[in-house]
Amino acid sequence: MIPEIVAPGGTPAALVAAIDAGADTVYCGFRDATNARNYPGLNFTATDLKEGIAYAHARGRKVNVAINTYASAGNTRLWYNAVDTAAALGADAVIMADIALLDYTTRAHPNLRRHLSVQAGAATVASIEYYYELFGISRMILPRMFTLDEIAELKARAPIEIECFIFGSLSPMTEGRCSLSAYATGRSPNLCGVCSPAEFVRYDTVDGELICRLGDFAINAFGADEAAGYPTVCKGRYSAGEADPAYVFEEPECLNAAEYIGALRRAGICAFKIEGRQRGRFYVAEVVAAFRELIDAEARGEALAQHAGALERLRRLAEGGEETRGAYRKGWR
Amino acid sequence: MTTDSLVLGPVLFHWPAETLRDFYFRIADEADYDTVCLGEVVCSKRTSFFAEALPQVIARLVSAGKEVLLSSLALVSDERELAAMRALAADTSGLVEANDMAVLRELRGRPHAIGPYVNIYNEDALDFLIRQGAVRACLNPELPGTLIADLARLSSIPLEVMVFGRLPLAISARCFHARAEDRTKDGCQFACKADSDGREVRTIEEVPFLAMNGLQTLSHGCANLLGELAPLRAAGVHRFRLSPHSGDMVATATLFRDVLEGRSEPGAATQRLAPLHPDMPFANGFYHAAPGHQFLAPG
Amino acid sequence: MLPRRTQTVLPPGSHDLAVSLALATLPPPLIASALRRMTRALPRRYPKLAERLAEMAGKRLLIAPAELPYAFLLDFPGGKLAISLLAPEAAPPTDAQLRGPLRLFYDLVRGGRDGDALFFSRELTVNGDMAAAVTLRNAMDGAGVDLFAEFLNLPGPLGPLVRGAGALADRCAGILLGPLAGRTARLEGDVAALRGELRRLKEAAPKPRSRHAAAMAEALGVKP
Repeated sequence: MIPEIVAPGGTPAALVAAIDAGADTVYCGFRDATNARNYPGLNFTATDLKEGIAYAHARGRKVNVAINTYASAGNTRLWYNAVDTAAALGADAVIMADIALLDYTTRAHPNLRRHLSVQAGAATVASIEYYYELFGISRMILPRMFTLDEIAELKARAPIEIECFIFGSLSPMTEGRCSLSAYATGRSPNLCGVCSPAEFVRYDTVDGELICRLGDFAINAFGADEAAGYPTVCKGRYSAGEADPAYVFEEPECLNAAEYIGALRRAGICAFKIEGRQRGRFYVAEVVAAFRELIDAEARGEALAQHAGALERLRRLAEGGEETRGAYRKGWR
Repeated sequence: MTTDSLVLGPVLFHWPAETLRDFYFRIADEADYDTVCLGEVVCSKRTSFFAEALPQVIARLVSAGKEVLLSSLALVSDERELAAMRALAADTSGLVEANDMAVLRELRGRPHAIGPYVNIYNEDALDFLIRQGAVRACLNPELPGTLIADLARLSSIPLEVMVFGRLPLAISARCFHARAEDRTKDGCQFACKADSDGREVRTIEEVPFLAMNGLQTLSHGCANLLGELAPLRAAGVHRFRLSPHSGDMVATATLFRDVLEGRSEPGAATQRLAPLHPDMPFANGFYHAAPGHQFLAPG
Repeated sequence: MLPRRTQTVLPPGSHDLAVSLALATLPPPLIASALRRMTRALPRRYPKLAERLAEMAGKRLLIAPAELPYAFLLDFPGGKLAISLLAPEAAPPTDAQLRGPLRLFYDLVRGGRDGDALFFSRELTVNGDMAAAVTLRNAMDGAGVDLFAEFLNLPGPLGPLVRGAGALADRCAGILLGPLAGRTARLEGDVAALRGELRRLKEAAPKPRSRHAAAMAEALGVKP
């Protein structure tokens, strides 16, 4: 069994790029607050989704729709409509966290696959079993890596598939239970689907240093020869107590678990998820292509070390540095 | 006319066992709370310190006429923690407050409370939890007043809102106190013990922003909804949670009670509240759908 | 209609130079007219773009490449992109101003692999409404637009002129730099070998790349 590559489809172009690069499944969201990457210019209208699903299905691939924020009191219709639309358009699964949505989908669309989002914050075998018993979820996306024993126990207690992140930017905080960005900006990730949104971001140059802010708070500063970063609130530099400024919560780094492809597959992980619906289509294509090569090679019994090129490309992309610094381009052939 | 209840939330910080015990004795004897929450919410490593004193504290609170609620961990991360929760729940006759979905599973078939760490943002989720046996729910402090009002209007169980204390903003499997000392959670040496209200986290511009508390991240600002008590009551909320800090929680309760019963105006009460909890600026931005750190002073 | 993939796949490099030369040396009125023709054709070639650019209605962006004597003003009347040229000091108030080397703007307009340079490069400064810049980038990328290729594929003399200049530049580079390139290639090979050796040494003392990867290793009982 070769694990699926589940690739981010932030936009219709990214969906096409991911499929063309070899992704088995693409996950995407609607152009509204029903998904956790609700950024302007991103995401799919119903028509976009219909076309994307057609493109994927024609090539034997799948599309999962993320409806993974929390429906707002008095406005639940927006989220239920999203589920209805995804079902009507033939989505292969919906990815959800809110109990109300899981309940609605179980009753209204019992044959629509329900995947449990990391946004549900289910971190134990028991909590996953809870969702399985109440909502018949088919798959859960792990918020953290379970031990081999936990995976075995989970499979014994609930016949569900397990998907885990293999690449991309992850949060140090439990997903779906973080209000840091809301504290700084007033926009709740759970309700609005945005974290550290661009409209609250400012870059200012002060004494030769570039300071990036989110709302009223300086999140990080970069010296003259440092590449700048985006002010994601949990990846900033802060002073705790008497200490000097440091990345007290999380380094602004990226997960790259390519080297564990074999171990994860043998442990029973059925799908590898790549984070990045806010990244560009060429980035997505590059990451997917590299994983396609590595996953297929591993399944054939080859050592990953034989694919140093793909590993190196992923390393560079994970470090978010070399390529994206817009550094010098090799122009002469 | 529903009477208003003041609830003392669980102590979020790693206070020494004697401090905690004396704190609860004083609350039992002197403080105007209807319900007192006990239990370790943040880190299971802290639990053993207070285990011995717990029965004595419960007895003292109950005999003082307080209802005792047992709060669970906000993030149950393994079977061992779940088993410990199960044992604690089996021992108690009072309500258990679930702060994590894993705990909810344990409490099915038995009336229970929902804590502020379980996401309820709409009436359908609330109804679902009520059908599973929830008899009370304390809401996520991030909810704006309009959403709280919608929930309260449609709810068949009493809802509770946090009106005082540093706001819980995030929970993690990683311990930030340990990390700040270059340790891991396993070898933490209880670094969180050093900070009775959380460790101040400042931006590079030296602006206080957050407070770290082990696995939990809190706001630097202290929730103060004295000015919002009236609209909350009008919306049908009659349970008000005060999250304990090292300042005088007896006097704090009195201030809130005075405003609830019309003996004091929110503005005046706020002015008397401030010196009780120095170095913690007030915040009520979430209620007003604004950045959480902001404070709209009561008129 | 799904985003159309561009007909020609452009390798980075030579065309950048050619376009840069064109932009820097051709008369601004010629450039301006070419840009007008290009942007007028966009709604027809990318019907989905308007929907994504709708949120930009009423916004104006100033793009000021360091190497050029003029700047670009981006308007979005009714969801359509309009680009005009102006002297940088004569710019009206704009919601966001982006300044930096030309090659970084190519990333923005081609939705290229380095589109994230917007966030990570110090050489590109964004003042004002960050969200407007992000929205533009997301919209173009999302609709599959590569303005760079659009510019090069314009009907009329400009496209072939610029493409020809690119090809010429390639040939000149080959003649002038061929021998040098050969030596550089050998040196690059040596450097790559040394880098590989260094990495192998580093990995002999393994250190997982991230906390998540470390947790994975532990959970799976795998040596990191």
